[in-house]
Amino acid sequence: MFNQLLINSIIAGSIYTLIAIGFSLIYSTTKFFHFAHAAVYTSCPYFVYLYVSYLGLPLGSAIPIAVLSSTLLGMLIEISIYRPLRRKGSSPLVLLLSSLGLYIIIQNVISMIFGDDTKTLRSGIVTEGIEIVGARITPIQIAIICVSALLLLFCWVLMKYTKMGTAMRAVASDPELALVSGIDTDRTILFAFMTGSALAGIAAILISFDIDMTPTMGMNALMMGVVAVIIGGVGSIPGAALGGFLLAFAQNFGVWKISSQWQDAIAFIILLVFLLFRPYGFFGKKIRKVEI
Amino acid sequence: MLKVDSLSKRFDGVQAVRDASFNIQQGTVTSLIGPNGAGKTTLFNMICGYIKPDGGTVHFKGKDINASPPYAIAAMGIGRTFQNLRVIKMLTVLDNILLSVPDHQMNGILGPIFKVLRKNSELGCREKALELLDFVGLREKADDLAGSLSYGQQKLLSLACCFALEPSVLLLDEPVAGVNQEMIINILTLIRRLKETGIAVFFIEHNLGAVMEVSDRLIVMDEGSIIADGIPSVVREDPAVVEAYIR
Amino acid sequence: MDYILHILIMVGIYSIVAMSLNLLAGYTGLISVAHAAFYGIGAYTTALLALKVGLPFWINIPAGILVSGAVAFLIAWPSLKTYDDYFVITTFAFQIIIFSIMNNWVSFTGGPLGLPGIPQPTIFGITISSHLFFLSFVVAFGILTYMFLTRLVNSSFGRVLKAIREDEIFTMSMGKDVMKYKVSVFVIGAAIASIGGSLYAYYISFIDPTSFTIMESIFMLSIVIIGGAGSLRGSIVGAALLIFIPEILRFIGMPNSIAANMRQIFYGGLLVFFMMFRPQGLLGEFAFGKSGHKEPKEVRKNA
Repeated sequence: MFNQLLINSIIAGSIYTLIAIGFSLIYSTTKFFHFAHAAVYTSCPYFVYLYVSYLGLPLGSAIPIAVLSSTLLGMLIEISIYRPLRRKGSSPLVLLLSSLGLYIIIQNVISMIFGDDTKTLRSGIVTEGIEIVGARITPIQIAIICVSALLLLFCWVLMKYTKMGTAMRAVASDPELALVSGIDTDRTILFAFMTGSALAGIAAILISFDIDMTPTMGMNALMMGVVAVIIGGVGSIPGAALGGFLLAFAQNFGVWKISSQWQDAIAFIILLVFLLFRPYGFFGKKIRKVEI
Repeated sequence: MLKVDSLSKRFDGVQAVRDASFNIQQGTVTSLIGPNGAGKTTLFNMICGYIKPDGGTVHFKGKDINASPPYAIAAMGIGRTFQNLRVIKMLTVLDNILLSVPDHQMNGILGPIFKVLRKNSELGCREKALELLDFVGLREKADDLAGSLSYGQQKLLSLACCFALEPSVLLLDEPVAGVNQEMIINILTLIRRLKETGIAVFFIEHNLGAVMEVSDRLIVMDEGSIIADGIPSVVREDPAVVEAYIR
Repeated sequence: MDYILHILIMVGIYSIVAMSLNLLAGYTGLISVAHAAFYGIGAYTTALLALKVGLPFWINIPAGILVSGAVAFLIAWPSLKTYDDYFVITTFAFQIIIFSIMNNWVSFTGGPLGLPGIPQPTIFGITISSHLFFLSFVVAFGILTYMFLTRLVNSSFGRVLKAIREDEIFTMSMGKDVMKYKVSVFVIGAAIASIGGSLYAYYISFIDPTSFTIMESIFMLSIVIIGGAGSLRGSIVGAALLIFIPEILRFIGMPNSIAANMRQIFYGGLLVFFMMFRPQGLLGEFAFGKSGHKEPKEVRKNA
């Protein structure tokens, strides 16, 4: 039992980490809650579905094109909505609210086109999975863990060793200084959206293979990502991973003792605890500026 | 009356204020000068309760006010203005002053409900508020939105607001910055008149001319420490002070 | 005709809720997405008292107000330690938690199946059964709410709220205990929202958790924003707009299957539109601030 919970936690943690990193990159560079990230997340598996079912593409090509599509969607939102608002000096609240509106629009468009019923990208029968260390794990679940680990490593290297990564960290810690130092903040932010959206899309596709997909899957997934980021600290890649796994463990082991219907509540109680006592998480930096 | 003892504050690895100590007496005008980043505003913020000091104490009329929240310190009699001119632009000039009216019904969370049910007359307060506006010369603007005033007029309004609570000490952060010569003279005159009523004025300024005009005492800060404290004409010749400014 | 009355009743109920949220979000600048939770607490309290104990509406509705207010008080202090967008997230968390309780505490709230068969309210022995009668019932509460809130926001209390919205630090320097004011509006806003919930419970005579979700909260917030933050009349206009227009769309032949989606796209789209071009909404005065006013990280406000 324990081992199964452990495996389940690692699988869930992997997904949460992907979502968390994506959200963290965007939040740390733009300083507002991009709720529409949930819609970008959701759009990806539906793009796959669209390309396979309506355009007849093979799965192998549909997936990368879908990830590209979602990435473009995220970037489009930044260019057409957030950037103009930022230019006008709009507050983070205005951006948050517009993001909510965008989420609502996109989620409902998906509902209208594809219906609200549960779909899945999995073809064929549900396999029982193989057994390791006394727990069951399916091939797709192994894939989830491996893909996440690879992407986690990739992002960590990106942030630490590449020019764009450094630029993102600079914009995150001091946008004005970054601008003055010659960094193209708009391009850096766009890059953050590109990477974040891609990560979200991949995470959503993985989940859709493992379990299922619905038009409203994004909101819940995003909130788990937000909790993970708040636990781990905004702007920190290792933090996002720490947060993601901690959350997954808390949920899985938590529902061992109490009913699984409280899974959401557990996540949000953890969120509240951190928001109130450690709003910068474990590795985060204080990001609000003082001006009295 | 206002006694500051060894106040210190560290921010992000920088010692913003280091061991600041001084005493402000009634009916005096003291100014605080120093290069940018010397820690002057941080000092003000600590005295008024917006920032918690790392060390040291602040006593006001004998009472330790270190642990008091900013609104309580304001109500106790320490008024202040802010470097980045805070007034409520969406409210009328008169309403800005009327914010100072104590809300007796706020004694309970549900207080406001009773306030609504009982017709509350503020006439007495309105009169006093209008007199305050008179004092700064803004009476005709009483019913205009604060946002429609010129920068100089808004500065006058912020001055009027900070003495709406009948303070004994006024902490003014750059009271004559950003206004024309006429307004500077206006504000300095007001400061003198306030001094005559027994209020202690303590202000931060970069305009040395204004400082020399009106101050009884000059405190100089540099890189967090107080490097001089005394009569203006003497302090300004102090080699340490001169060096701080050249640097 | 009955259909039109139905729409008007819903507009009435949502106006009450929107006005209460406006007090919080529009006048004080506290953007909350937890309002559906308080609306729901009012509905459940009234439903349970009417159903299980058989108490009349003039006890049930105030009971709802008390419970809602009490819950709001409990969560206000921790929530208000966070600012701006973090405050939104905090209210988001509380909304989900309260919803989980409504959905999972089956023995008390009936869980996902809800509470059916809520009896209609009676005044002086006459049952309010017709739509017209119920509409008058709702309008009466609506007028009371409007009058109460108008007095409140035009009083010195309201003055402080607007000041808090624009500049908390200045307001503190004027001797005001800002935290207390915020808790106060949070509680009052929740209490009035619960009236809307109670009326809803009586009207539909059956409630379940799906009426009190985060999406519902966002809808209520949209009404406030589109109608105009800081304008009570705006909330009434907003409610009318966001309820009438989608119904008209349904009338002109939009298939039922996508009607719900179109309704959401409608107000989602309006939300984006207003944020981009007119954040203060139709009749409002608060445009949610400019990015220059970040809250200081080290300010001690709650000593």
